[in-house]
Amino acid sequence: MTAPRGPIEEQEWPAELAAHVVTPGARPRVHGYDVEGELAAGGSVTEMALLALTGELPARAALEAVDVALQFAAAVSVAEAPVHAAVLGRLSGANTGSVVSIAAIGLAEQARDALEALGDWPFALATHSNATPPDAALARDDDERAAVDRLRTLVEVTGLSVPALSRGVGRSAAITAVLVAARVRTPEALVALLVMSRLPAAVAEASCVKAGDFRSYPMNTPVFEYEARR
Amino acid sequence: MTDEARGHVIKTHVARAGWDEHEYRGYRVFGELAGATSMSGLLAVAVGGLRLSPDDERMLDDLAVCMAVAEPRIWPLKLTRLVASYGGTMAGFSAGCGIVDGTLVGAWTSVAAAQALRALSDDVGDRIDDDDHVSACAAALVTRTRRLIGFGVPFRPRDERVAALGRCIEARGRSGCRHWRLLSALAAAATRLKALEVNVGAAAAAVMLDLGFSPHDVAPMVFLINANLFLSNATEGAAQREPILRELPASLVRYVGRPPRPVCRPAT
Repeated sequence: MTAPRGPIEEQEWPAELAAHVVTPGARPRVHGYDVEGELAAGGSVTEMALLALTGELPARAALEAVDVALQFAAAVSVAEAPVHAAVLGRLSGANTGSVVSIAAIGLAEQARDALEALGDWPFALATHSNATPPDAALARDDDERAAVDRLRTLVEVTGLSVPALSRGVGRSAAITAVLVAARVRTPEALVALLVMSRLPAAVAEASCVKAGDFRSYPMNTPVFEYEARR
Repeated sequence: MTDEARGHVIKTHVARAGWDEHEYRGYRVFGELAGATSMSGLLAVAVGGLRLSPDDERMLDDLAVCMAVAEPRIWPLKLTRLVASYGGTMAGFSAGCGIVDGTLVGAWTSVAAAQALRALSDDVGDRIDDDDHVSACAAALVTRTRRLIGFGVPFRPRDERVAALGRCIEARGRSGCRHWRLLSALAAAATRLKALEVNVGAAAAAVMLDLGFSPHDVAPMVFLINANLFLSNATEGAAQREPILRELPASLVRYVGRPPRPVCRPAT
């Protein structure tokens, strides 16, 4: 019996899936570099991430500066929605994959939202490192200014030039500026690095919660007030 | 609780849980909705706060059925299968939800189409029965819109779902509804001026607007009535746990990236 045909059968399609970054198989290469034979010796996860996302091995200064910036980014607390959501996932008995997925989705949304708030500025930095930051990129208070001062001090030690760190920007904009200076220049790449750096803390916080221990969770925080409206 | 937290109250119009009764979008769940509202009707309450008539609910059912193309090779559904191949139905379903959160594929295309229909409705004003005027307004909208979302049918001459939906609408005596009429005019103009056929995204938008949903509510409604497409694939995919989906054999993957090169770490 002949299977019925439809529009999918009537078209010509490639038979193979294209791999652009990693060679499939037992001895993977990333953008042409042998992972197990060469990269892993003396490399780091940050180096691998930058290679994957930019297509090239980072210069030492860029690698060290990104390591610093991602450590500044990594410390997300349970006060922040992605971690809070992961905690609720764990509390509600979600399986391991789901807890991590919940955290990852929340972190990706958090990073995307923060990046969108900066408008075109991060991408303007790629060609004009002195591009004027928008108001949304500026530090909101002295604590944030102090954090960016600490970041600038550490990044200066690496030798990577990031003029934007002296423009009064806030923490999120400063971290983004360092990543852009290290040639991370697409929204997906920026968000991926931020998620990568923050995911461990978010999952670790969720792992501290006992599944089913609903009484320990502040259910009425914050307060919701229902108003019937038809 | 701090004063700051105590003073911050989030207003919600969605729901409140009580002891013997619950409220949902302004309705008593047991007292008003139970026994009187279908699943489609409940979705309308959930998203738009709309209480549909039984005939409106059946129209929504017709739309859901006409959109039911669950072919697992279609991109969002294949994605669902890929993630579900590790055995997690809801993981596959959740991943599938992610792919439709854009303006190229999925429910959000209907929002843009709904906005276009609303704009056309504004242009037409109270002259909906003036066919020449409606055609002229539709042609003007098609001409000034660079990318007409909800139009264009890949890989086949026309969208069979629109035709099936049209038959349902005819059978229910709803072909005279304002937005469906406007869609017909817009479809004719798009075919004439840009050789574009209307797809089910725009058709769904027209039906939703005629049911009383706002353009913003169209996307979640379309997603909800299409959720069965993802769940059917997630359920079967999780049960099958297909090894070939978890990892394609080497013969089906072609590396097109950089050639092998030695590691030479930049010094500065």
